[in-house]
Amino acid sequence: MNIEKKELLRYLGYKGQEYTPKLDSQIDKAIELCLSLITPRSVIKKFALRKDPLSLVGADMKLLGDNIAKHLSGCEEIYIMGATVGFEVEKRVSHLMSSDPLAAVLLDSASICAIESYCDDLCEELQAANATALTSRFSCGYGDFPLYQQKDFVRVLELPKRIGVFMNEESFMLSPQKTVTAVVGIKKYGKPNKTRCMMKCVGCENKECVYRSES
Amino acid sequence: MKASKIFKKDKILLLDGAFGTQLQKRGLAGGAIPELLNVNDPELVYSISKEYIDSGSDIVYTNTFGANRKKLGSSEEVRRLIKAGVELARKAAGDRLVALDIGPTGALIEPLGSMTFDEAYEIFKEQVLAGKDGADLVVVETMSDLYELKAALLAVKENSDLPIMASMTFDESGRTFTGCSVEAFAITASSFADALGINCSLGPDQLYPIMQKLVDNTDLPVFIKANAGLPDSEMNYSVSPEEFAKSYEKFIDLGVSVLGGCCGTTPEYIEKLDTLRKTKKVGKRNRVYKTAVCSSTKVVYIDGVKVVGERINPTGKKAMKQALIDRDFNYIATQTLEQVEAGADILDVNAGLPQIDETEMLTQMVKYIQSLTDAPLQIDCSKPEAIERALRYYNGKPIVNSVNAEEKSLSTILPLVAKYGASVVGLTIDEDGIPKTVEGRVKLAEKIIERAKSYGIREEDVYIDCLTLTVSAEPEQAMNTLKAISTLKSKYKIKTALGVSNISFGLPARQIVNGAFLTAAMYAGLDLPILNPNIPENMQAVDAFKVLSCADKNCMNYTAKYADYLGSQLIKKESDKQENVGGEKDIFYCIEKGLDQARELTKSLLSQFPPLQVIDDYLIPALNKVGDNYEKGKIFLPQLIASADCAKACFEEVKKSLPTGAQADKGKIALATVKGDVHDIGKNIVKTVLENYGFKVLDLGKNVPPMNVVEAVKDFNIKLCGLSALMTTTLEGMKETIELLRLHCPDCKIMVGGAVLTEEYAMQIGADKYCKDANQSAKYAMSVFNAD
Repeated sequence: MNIEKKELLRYLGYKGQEYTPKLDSQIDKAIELCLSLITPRSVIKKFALRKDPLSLVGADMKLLGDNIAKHLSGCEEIYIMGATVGFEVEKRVSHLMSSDPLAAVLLDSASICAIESYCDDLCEELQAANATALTSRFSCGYGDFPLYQQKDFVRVLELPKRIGVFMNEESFMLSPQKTVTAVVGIKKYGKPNKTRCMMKCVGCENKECVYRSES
Repeated sequence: MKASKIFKKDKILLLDGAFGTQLQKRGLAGGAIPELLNVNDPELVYSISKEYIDSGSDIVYTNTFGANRKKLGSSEEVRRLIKAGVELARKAAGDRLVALDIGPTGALIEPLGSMTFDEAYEIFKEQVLAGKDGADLVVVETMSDLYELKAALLAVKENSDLPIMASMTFDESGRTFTGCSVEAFAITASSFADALGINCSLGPDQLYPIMQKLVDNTDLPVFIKANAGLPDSEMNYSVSPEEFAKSYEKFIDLGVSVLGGCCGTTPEYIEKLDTLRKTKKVGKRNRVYKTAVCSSTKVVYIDGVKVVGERINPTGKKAMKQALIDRDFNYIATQTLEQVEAGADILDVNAGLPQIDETEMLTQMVKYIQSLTDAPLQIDCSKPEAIERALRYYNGKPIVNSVNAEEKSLSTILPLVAKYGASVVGLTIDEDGIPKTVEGRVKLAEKIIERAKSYGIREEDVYIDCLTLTVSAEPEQAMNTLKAISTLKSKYKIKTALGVSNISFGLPARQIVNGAFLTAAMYAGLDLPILNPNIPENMQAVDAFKVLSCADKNCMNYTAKYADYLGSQLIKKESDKQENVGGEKDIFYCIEKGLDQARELTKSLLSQFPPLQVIDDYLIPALNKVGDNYEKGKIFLPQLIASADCAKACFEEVKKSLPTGAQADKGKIALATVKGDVHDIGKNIVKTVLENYGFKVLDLGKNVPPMNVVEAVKDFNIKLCGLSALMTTTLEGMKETIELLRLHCPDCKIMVGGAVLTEEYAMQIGADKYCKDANQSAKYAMSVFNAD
């Protein structure tokens, strides 16, 4: 778990502006506070993949849409994962919002970095346990992989019971807010990826996004 | 059957083991709905319960854990599956007992989630009504949110007469996923349930220290259903039946009399427990009752002086009064956080104002304040109806302030205190007024204590307030109050509360007398001084008393707090330093850079120009420049917020210099994150920026039903309303809100924003303006209000 200042700044729309040492130290404080508040938890299950329709063997779950199929081409097995950094950090963000909005916004950004970094850690561990390459994480709402499939992640991974993640049935929004669910494919061939995080934004079609990462 | 017939001190009862694990072993696919088997494969469900009965279970849970409307989709399905489930368990149990099993809804209650407390209640109520016939008791289990547990327990209590078992799930830290501590669970749920337990998440050994804390905080029978250790990725559990039973020995020694298993356990585990119970005697539980109040995340034991903050009360406080009339929750937030920061352990909440609906306001305030702070609350009200609503929505164990010795007060309020498991402040006053003698007050206190006990409220949960009278008017009464406190404390196990500041009414330098009286009262036995913690002398008296009474061991807290104390003349050294950066910069520069110096510069401008001119010629242009820089990418979000925050301080100065009644506000704007959406950071940033442009913001919060937006816009004659939504799925709620606003408030302008929103879509759903960020919102707001 590592909260990179560069990442944190990216979520705040930073484009190289000059800023004061005071802000810099406020960012450091937010990072420190964030690390003290998070309780990372995850649940990961491995499934064999069945085709036509693309679905999980041994669980009642399909994977819908062309994009996920494309993403998983060359995979016969997958991991599905759910990971969260818990409620405390978002509670603190909302408390801070009325007394120190800047600190709240910085803490919120830090918590985004935290969940991403945690997921990267988990994927690194998964990669280490496999002789072949893993795909990057693919989540509901990416391309045509429908958001309502969040329901299936919650059910199959037993997210409420296992890691304290809850879903709103109308909007499919997850609580805690800083939670990620994703599919990671295990490729049949190909050498393991060495890079920690594989070009998160490359697959996304929203080229105008202010948060778009160039690396 | 009565709870006392089921749970006996010396008898070890056996529950069943895992249901889900057994189903999965028999081939149920991961993630399928297990309750469907109650009708699709009844024989299978029956056989699992029967195996547990055969291995020794005295109580089996029905296969209805997730049989709620949220998960099953319809009420009919809930009834069908629960009825079938109860029947099957009944058939298997024979003359043993059946517990109707109720698990969490799977959704989360506000403020963390979007389900309301009432919705949760209704969902549970449906389950209770469907399953109560045929069940011997109800078990509410695997809960991780205390608030949801409370909704479930109320639903069971109010809709059946069955005994209730309640268990929550904790991690190694002794907290649930939502942060509820096992102590808070014990203290809160003891008033609603007949037995408390811990289940799931961990193996027996890891749960043991958590169980110790549970046993330490409740007198109810206690049960355990541990997992068979932790599962590996193939779902194999690590603790064998023998090891499991071995680990349970120490639970029995601890006084845990009801035993079962959760995930990974099988009939074999229960068999081993059955063997074990024949060789063991339940350990004696001899705890001393500890008076405590709590929120879901924080317990305050009343084992010495604890400070109740009195600021959230409109009586005699002009700003708070105005805030309540304007529904200005920002002000309430400030008062909440300031008092906690200053050292208040508990916060008094009072909404008594003739102009407003006290019941509605008190409930809203309780909900709001408990979302802001961990500090337990004291519900300050004398209207039974308002008290009941506030108690219902309180998450934890609160104090009710107050009853008095009048029959009407006792007979209407004490039943509520008992039902909701609160503590209560009892005022020594009745229809004849405050007795002038010590004996008179003691007598009234005794009446209150007796009546409380008759409703099942423990003596220890009654906090007697002997009442402070003005010493300049009735000189001998100060000592009588103190004597009454010490008399009562020596005779009873009650605690005492007292508001102190009244003592000095009409005197000069009131704080001197207040401080002396406070110290004397604490020495007499005052536990809960109700005071303003923001007055340093008050907290100093409390801190010093804690040293003198050995409550502050080795003067640790005192030393930490006052090591750098230099007397009243030097408090804020830190901020002084910041003020000295670059003395000759102007206000434009300071606001742009977010420097604290801007406040001082505003003060000096105010000595030269009229207040409104300072706003129009300096503050607004400075903020506009910041806005332009943000738009051009010269600064980024944190800098925009820092500037806005800095401007806020300047506006505060301007407001101070305005004649009373004059308005500096640029206009009033309502903001809401729409129904279904709980991601409100964007809305909150917009709020910060708008406020600091001098707009008055009515923040309606998150997950706001469309009609609530309409009502607020109407009530406050709002001209501009901002809506936010984060996800494609919640844009529907935005559309709905706009449609309703157009219908009911055609004059109100609507601006919208949110991550997935586009200009095009905003227009399509009928908004007046799409604002991609806070800066644009401020710009648009300026244009709306300047056009007037």
